[in-house]
Amino acid sequence: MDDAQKQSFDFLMTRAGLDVPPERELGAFKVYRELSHMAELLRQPRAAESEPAAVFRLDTILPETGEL
Amino acid sequence: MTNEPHELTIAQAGKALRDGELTSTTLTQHVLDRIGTFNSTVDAFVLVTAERALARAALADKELEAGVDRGPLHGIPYGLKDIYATAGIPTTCNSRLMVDHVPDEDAAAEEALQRAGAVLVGKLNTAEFALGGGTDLPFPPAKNPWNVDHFTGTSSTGSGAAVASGFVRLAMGSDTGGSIRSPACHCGVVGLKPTYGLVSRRGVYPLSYSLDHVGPLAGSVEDAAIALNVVAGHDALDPSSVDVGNPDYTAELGRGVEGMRIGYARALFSGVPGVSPEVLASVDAAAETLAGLGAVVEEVMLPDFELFKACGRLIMLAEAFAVHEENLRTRPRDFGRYAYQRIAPAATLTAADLIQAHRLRRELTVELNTGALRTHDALLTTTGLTPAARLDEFPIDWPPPGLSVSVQTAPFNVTGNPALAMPSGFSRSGLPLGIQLVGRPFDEVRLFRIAAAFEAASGLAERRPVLRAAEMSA
Repeated sequence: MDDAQKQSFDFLMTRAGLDVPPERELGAFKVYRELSHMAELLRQPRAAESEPAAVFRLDTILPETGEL
Repeated sequence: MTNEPHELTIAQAGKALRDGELTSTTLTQHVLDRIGTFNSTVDAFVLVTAERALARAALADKELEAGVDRGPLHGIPYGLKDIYATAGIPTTCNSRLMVDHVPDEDAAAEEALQRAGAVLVGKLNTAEFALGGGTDLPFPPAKNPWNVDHFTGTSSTGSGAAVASGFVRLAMGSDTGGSIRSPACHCGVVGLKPTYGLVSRRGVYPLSYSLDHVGPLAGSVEDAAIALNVVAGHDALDPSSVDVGNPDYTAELGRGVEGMRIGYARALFSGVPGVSPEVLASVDAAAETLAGLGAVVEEVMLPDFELFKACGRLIMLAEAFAVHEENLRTRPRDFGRYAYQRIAPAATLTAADLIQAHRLRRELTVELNTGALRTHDALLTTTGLTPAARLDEFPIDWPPPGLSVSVQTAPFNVTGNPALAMPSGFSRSGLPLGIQLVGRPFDEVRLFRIAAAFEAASGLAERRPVLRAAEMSA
């Protein structure tokens, strides 16, 4: 278990108000590491129009296809 | 009528009901007896509503006698994943947090099924909150009817097991990252994740608001199309519901695939370390079958699967955390270990993480629909990467090893496109293998058409496992 990552995990969970039961900590930490990696994957250049919609609706985000 | 009642397709049973060869009461009692004999083998149902079901069946019979015909599901038994709200009937999500929960209202899909005269026979097993799993939950995990030492796929575990076991021809499930298609694949039945917005999510306990889809697992492509005719439709009370009219989803069954263009997304799974050669061979053979039926099948490239996976997982867990935040703080040990260990770490995500995921989601959705799905009528790929894992491979703590829960389904939750899982063969060990067909948004009619053509050519639709009743403990 990476100490720095584990310290970050402990800090972030505590800040969120979560008291992680000790017997559940290892599995939760593994998911944290996986999520951290995934969050990095998301950080690539994006087109300006790639902005979040408040509600995900295909008919509002794909009007140009004309096939809905 | 030569088949046992539980072997009849929905259309066959409907014809027998109207021809006076069968009553809904007889059919319902037959499936209740079958559930009574075999459910303890596979743990598909967590609650059987026998008395209520027989009353509904008697009403269905009386209505048909009086000339009141509610359509193709009139008098047909079905089950609901135990995250669908059912008025007056417990809805537990297989969680200690919900064991005493009895809703006041039905889910929208349940309302539609009741209006159609269908007969609810019980609530079906699920991974906790459609995400967790493991053995520390109120109900034991469902078993794969083809080999009860194996996993059903997740999370509509009971839905897959119930249809494969011949308990019901229709079981409603939910799919946030593959939870209809995974059990459909591993249990050897048909499962449809409809287009996002086509079927109301109202009253189905949320895992992830923007990724959840509800849909049918069924004994055949036709059964699934008949079910979609009933449950699809605009619902003003579901913010994501889309009004696309009421097409007949059975309209093009039997028309074949001659001249259709099908993109084979082989690279989506062929290079994954550990992918089963049997899976590869089965999906390759399916591509050849579709080509043999007259479709133009050609390989296509999709965006990187890892991007879809990261985007979907991050949104799913962020939204799940929002749903369960209070209980995660105050009642952590009332969650099963898997659900807690998967959802709680989403507390570490930032607002920027989630916004980046939504930005990527839009790009992936546009890329899929203006790329491979603009030039092709549908896509073919795999559902699972291996046959169903053994249940004893699952450890106490998340995550399970290797590819035991891996399916190539999440991309189409991210994009919202319809995707259908169906059998394509069997492993040497006798476990089902399956393909996945992906359509354009709201083009389920064409998706069913392709699936029906493949189903007819494969001859796999009516192959079912032989169940043995569980031995009673002394």
